[in-house]
Amino acid sequence: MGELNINFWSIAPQLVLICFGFLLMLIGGYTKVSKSGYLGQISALGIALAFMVNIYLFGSRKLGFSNIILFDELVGIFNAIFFVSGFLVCLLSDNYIEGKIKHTGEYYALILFAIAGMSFMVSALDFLILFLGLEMMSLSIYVLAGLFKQSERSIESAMKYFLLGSFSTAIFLLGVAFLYGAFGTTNFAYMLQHFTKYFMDGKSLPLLMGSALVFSGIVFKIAAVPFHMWTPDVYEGAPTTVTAFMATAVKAAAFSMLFRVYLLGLRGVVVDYAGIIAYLAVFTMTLGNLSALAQKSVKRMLAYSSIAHAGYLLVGFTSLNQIGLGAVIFYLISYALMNIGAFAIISFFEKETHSTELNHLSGKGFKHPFLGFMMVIFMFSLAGVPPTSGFAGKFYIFTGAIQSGYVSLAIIGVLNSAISAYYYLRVLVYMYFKDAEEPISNINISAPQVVAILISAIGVLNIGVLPGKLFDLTIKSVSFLF
Amino acid sequence: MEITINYYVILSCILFCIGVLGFIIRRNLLICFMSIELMLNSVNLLFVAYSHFLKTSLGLMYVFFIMAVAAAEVSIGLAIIIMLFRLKGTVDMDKLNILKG
Repeated sequence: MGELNINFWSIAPQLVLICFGFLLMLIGGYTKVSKSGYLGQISALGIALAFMVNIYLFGSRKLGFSNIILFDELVGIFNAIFFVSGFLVCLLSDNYIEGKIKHTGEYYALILFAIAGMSFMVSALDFLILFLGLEMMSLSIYVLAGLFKQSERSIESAMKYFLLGSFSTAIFLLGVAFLYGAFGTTNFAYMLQHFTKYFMDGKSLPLLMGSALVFSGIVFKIAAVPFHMWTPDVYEGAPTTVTAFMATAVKAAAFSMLFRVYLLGLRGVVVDYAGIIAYLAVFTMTLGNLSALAQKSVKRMLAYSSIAHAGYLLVGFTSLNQIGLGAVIFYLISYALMNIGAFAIISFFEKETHSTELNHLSGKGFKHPFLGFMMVIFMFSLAGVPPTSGFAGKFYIFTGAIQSGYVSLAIIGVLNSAISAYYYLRVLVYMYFKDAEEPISNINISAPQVVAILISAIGVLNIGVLPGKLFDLTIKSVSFLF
Repeated sequence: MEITINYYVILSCILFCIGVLGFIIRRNLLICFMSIELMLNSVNLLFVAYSHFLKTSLGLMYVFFIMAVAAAEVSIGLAIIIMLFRLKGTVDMDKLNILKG
């Protein structure tokens, strides 16, 4: 299939990340455990470099490695989401993992490898690369989830994530095998071109089975109904910074798979799938929101809320028009910022009280004015209150759905976000209107953590007040599909 | 009697279903883990069969990559199982019950 055109520019951001990952393992091995505090900054530097390379390449179109890797605007913008969430998580982990993980070099290296894997997933033009990127990401995250070796919760969440994750990978692979049998190749560009020919050619059974199995593998990673059961357990047990990473970057990577596979490779079935995805979106939103209402732990509540947000994102995907698909990417960006912020503040309080229960937050708002105010911003944004990015994202998503004629879907979505306001605002009620049960001690926040929180808060407000520019960018990145 | 591709497809589907059933029914984590390996190997069989009948080598490439990834998965999975055994002294799936709600 064509000559071997190796083009290292097409994987330049990933190469930077992998080099820094190895560097971190090396430095981590040679430094004393007590002096390893600066590793987080090094990894953040590595991610920032990769981000720079990404910006440098943005706007160009690079095809490499016998047409199996592509760098275009869609890849650039998804890369930006992964890099920003990874950057914030690296800064936030600073003193959260101190004392719990002995060799912190491994922790940061695994984050970088996971981001490189996501980046490969979104640049894949072939199922082979998609699969390898997926595994590179998943294997790193399995380890990250279980990195608090002394905590039973952490190990249990790693075990559950590992078992169900590899189960879904096997299903995904079976789908790929059927697609290979139908097409004789797994290149997305070839599949897109020859879809109807093979479909009419009596090969429709392996083709349909393959696309359905691949779809269920992707739905598992998105954590949508009916494959959502692992999410609350895994998110609750994993270290909070890792949970923040899983809820944002991994979810964005899963959506990038949906974009790559169903809008590029298997475009022929996507119209039939839109109906199924619409039902999935309704069930995912409703179930996520209703279950979140009953939660006592803030971390578990945010896990259910991440299921609900996956539902909103699926609404955007269902509409299959430029506004809807652009809005999905826009929402992923704003969701990454607000969710990492919220998880970060929970991780600070968790460090102090060793618990994520809601009633341990009582009275914290006035005692820690900075953290309290930031929590107000993030919770308002998650609930979708106007001057924040959460509102802008939901607005665009529902606009896209209405344009495609899914008015009922938009109405259900708005009702759902009204339900969700109850449990997001309840956190603020506990923080500001309840008296503290226990004497309040100081919270030790380091400078990188303050920087990370400020970046996410300013990002949330900035995107919320002036959404136009970013939205134009996201729309432009999906315009090649139309 | 000629052996067609369908025999291989059906065989690997049966193997895959045995793997799925084993994963769902058995309560021992090691056995669940082996069931996942069985599922991956049935996929490998399907790739080899398609590769033979379609006369392209891509399927064989997939098999090598899947085997390498499965090996990495085994090392991580066994490490997690060992840590779990150290903390709890059991590898029973029903004992994974701290996280719920």
